[in-house]
Amino acid sequence: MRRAGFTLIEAVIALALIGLVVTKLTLVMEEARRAHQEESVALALQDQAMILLDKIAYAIVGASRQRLDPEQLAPLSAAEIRFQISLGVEDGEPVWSDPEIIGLAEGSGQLYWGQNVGAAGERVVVWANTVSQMLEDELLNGEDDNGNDLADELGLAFVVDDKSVVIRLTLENVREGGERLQVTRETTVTCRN
Amino acid sequence: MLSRGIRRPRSRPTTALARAPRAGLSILEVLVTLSILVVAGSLFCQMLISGRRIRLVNHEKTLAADAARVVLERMRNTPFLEVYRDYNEDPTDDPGGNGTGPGSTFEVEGLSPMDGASAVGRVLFPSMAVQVASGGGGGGKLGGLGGGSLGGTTVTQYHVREDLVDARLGMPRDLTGDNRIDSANHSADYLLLPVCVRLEWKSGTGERRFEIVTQLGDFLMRPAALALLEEAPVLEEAQ
Amino acid sequence: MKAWTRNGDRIDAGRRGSALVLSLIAVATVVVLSASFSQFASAVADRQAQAIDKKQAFYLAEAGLTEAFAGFTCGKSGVVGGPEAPALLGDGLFWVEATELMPGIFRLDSTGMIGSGRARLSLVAQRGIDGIAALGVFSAGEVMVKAGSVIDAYDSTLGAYAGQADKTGAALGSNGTVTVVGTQLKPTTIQGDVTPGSEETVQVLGSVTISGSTTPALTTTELPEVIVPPVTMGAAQTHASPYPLIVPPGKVGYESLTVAAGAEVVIHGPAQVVLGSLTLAATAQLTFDTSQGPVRLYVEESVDLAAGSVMTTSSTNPAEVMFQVPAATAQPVALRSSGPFHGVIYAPQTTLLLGAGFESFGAVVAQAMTFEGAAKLHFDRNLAALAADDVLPVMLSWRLDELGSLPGSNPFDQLGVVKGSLAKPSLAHADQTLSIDYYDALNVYHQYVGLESEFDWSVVKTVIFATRDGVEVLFPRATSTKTGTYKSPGVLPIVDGPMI
Repeated sequence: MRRAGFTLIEAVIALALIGLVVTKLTLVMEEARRAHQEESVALALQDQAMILLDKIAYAIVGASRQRLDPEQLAPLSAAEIRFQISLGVEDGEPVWSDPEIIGLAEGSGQLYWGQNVGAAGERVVVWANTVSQMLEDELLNGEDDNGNDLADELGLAFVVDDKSVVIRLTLENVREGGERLQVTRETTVTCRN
Repeated sequence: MLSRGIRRPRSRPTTALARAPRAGLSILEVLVTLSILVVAGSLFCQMLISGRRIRLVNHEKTLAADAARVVLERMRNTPFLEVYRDYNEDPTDDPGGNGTGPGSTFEVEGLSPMDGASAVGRVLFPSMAVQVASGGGGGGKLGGLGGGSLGGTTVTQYHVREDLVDARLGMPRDLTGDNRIDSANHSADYLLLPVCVRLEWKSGTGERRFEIVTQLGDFLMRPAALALLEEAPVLEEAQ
Repeated sequence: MKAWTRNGDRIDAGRRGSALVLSLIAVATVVVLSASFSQFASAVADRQAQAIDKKQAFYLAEAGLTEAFAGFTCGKSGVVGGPEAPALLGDGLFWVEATELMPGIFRLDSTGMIGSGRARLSLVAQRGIDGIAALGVFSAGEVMVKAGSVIDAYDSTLGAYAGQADKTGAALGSNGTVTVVGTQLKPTTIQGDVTPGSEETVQVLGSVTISGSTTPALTTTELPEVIVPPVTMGAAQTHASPYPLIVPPGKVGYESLTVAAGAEVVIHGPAQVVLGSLTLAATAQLTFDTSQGPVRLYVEESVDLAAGSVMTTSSTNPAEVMFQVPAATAQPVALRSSGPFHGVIYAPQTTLLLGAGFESFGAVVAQAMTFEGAAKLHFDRNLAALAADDVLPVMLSWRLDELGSLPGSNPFDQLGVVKGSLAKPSLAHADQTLSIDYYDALNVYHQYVGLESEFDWSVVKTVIFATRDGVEVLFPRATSTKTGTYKSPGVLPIVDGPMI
């Protein structure tokens, strides 16, 4: 009668094979997953930055240049912008919206849109929570550290140039392992009114 | 010893261990299982790679779209009748001086130009390259030396032309509001300016292209009305 | 069923294939993870694609606004295509609807679609008006120019009048007869065209020099009414102090303003000032300070600038001051002051009395004009160019109404149109009834009334008068930087051929 079971050698070889393949597979998948994760986080952050910039740009595009505050700032910048957009015309005269503001809340990394802030009928909506306090590679030292001709610009910076507004935004996130990831994007929009 | 022709009666195993079904997997089963897992794992990785490729393509397209938007918005911030001369291929006609305009090409961070191309982005107008004779002097300019060209050369100029054929820009068409399509140079007197901002770049998945077509116009704004006071102010004398 | 191993041991059928089951479970897990990841990635990709399509749709809609506004500039209705037949531009489409909000004020709504993107923008525009300053010196009624008068022209952009050699280009016009009188001692000089009304003539008596044409106008020139801005009227003001009285910038009004002898009133721009009446005594002075902005003065009932008074401006740019008398007055508007006055004087319903020695730089237009003596009227040619800007429509408001995504990625299928059958933007404007008087290339006069789509614009050399759907067409300006036909009221093109 033959005995049931594996011989020791068979068992060792099988275990070794299994271990080898599973380990290799696991390593490969883990590597792929990690690379994907890192890239996804970066791309997701870039994607979010573009969406935010689009949102800000479309909010400002209908603004009146005369009702834009700060009025003229280049080459300085501001972390918030106040504006009024045209709602139409009544009796031959333009009708303007209630005062609106888009800005960076101090210390919280929140990018918000507000209307009638500080007055009756105030509305505030937070559009993002991941805005960096300072623009990428910029330090609070009175100098232009990142070579963009601006000094000490915050994570959200508006630069007004005639009718155009240049919007710069840095978002940040933390990767696995605690490493900080920052993404900076900018766009330009021209007030149509 | 029993002969081969006689079968021993099969007896049931008596011990529990002996009675238990044989545990474990055969090596064949293990190998098949591992093969399936390897295939599944590789498919998963393949999917990650494809997904990454799609994300990159979309990301590049997003960069291209925003770059095109920035160029168009900057055009909007330029005096309307200077837009063509600022953004065409000819730096010598730039309103602010030779080469002061942004020009017709531009780079985009994150996108690589195609092989043989100088830049990723290009601004296209209903524009035609025209050979223009540039007189080498002439009597008027040289005072009393008499008339006649001293050996004129031809230079290439870029003109906005109403008779250019370009279906994407809706050409040919009247651009000055006189209801006529002519062959004159309208580089500085157009009423409406079709423009295409085109980007072509080399991607990991091949060559890609994106463009925005629009028409620029000059929307003159009425001067802001003076505020109406509730009471007529008291007039004062200047001291 | 029972199976057996090679050793004769029995294998339970239920246990057979368990490895496969385990691997299938593992594969199923991987599949589920992949599916959810794929769905997430697909959602992100869709969002990115929609954002890109929205950008393109935004600029397509803006192209529509540009197309409609340009059409507006040419007197068209502003309607371009429609949802059933939009205009094709690039790989997308747009159409524009026009709604009249008030007389002369229209809202243009442009919709652009491409891929999955859809955008709607709206623009409110006000039609342009015919600039009256381009008329130069014009009287709707008969006008008689007294001996010793000078009517000439200059260009304020080239500096002061005195330093300019070219003083031609003046325009003296009327819907009636123009009589120009001069004497040996006081010859009258007109350096430009004198244009009487159609079927009227220019009568020249004595020593008169007219450098330009005297051909009658083809059409009667209508003077548009003055729209007085609403202001809060204050009490009557009388100023007799030696210190200048300051009228501050803004919209202000007073029942009357009387400036006594030796006193001065200064109006600071930017200002719109409405007065019931204006009286300047001899040696009184009225100054328009336009250093901060233009001044528009409206006097509704009476104007009396006595001889010896002074009406002057801080700037030499006539476009910055406009003195208007909107309605008919009981007495003629007496302008007997001395200057120099750089501005436009406009009184479409009343008579202007131009005192001996009256001198203005700019333009003078009235219902009727009487010269009491030798007046000097210097027409600023630059006003004609500026008036051409008044012809253009102006934008009152621009608004982003909607920016969204549509299901599917083919707007042509969505609207049920065939891409290849759509018209390009220039051919998508709504058709209108065109009524046009014009000269062709041979200077033969023609008239056409009918659908504009059936009219061949290439035969037109000069437009005399045109309407679209009954609305007068004002063409873009003809200047050194912009070409295009321009209707110049009262000025007749040179005719070389027969007139039909």
